[in-house]
Amino acid sequence: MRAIILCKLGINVIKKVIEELKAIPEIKKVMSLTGDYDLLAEIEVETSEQLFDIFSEKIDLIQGINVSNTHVIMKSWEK
Amino acid sequence: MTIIFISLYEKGVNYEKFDVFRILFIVMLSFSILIITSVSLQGAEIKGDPIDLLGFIYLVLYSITGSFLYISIDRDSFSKKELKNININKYYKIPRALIKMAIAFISGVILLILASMLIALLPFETDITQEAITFFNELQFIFVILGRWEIIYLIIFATILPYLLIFLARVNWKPTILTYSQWSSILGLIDPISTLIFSVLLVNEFFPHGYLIIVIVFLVITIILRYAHEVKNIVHAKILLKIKKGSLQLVPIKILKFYGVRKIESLIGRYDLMLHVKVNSFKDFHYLINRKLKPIDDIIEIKVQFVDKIEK
Repeated sequence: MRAIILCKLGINVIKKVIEELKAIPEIKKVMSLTGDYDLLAEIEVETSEQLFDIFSEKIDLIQGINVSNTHVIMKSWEK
Repeated sequence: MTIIFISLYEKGVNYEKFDVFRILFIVMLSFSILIITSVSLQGAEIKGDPIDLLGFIYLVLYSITGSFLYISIDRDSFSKKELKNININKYYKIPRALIKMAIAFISGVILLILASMLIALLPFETDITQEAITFFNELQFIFVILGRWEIIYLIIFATILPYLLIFLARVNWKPTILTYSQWSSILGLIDPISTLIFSVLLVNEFFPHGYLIIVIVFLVITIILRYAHEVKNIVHAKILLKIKKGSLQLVPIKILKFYGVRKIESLIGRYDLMLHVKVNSFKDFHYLINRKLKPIDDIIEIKVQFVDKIEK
């Protein structure tokens, strides 16, 4: 199961937050963005309970993330 | 020459940026072409068989038509049914490419024979009419030629096998920065480098070693400059969409056809779809947003997030 987490950060915390997110093994991709959100992280887990555990025990506790928006990926199409 | 024509086309039609990297690699390529041409003229003089200006004009025409071929291959789009088939089995792309190539080849052969017949019937004599008449005179030997082991080797190892590898690469390509077609256009410069080296080493073509080294260095620098140009100008973004209720079945396949949209993911959350977009210029990006996405009635909200850097 994959999900994307969009984050809005505080000021001058982006490098610290990126390092903390990169240290979480379930997070497979991290990208810095320009727009409404500052970071995108893609997470890969087995179950929704695991997603909750990782989010509540690790991601939610990262200082510097002001707002986060999680979206579970249902299906993807490529060409 | 094909690379120069494609670069000029991209500037003229697509308004792609003419940055310092693009200018430098066009200059490098132009110098390489001048050196190769001048060495070829010297070699022809030494052999006592001077090069005809008409031959050079045909070479330029061949490069121009080759450019259009590469541009149309790059812009080849999939239909909705084909996109559905690709997402069921990605290897669908291989037989599709084979069938398209076979149709293009057979159509080309038929057109070539018809055009040659018309040229052969012209009432005046030119080198082209001579070539057309010679073609028909020697057509009877085609099966003798095809039976030779060198031709069978060329067909299998120089055509079928490389194209199979190209198709497999295209199907399994996971671009981190650049797409398959961008990489193939950058690394396509290896072709003239290897042709030069093998023709000098194996066939003893006349090419002074000093000039050979200069041309190879220029072409290698061109590869690096081309890579820098592509990486510098690429527009990488994630576009989040909110769509109307009931349109989740049709909208993703409709949007996947658009140039620049590499992947679509359907989401549970505040947004319904996320598009992974990579285009060569902001003009292409503007076209995608304003001419392709905004006119779709099923899209309620569009949120663009430009990717600055891939951290992991």
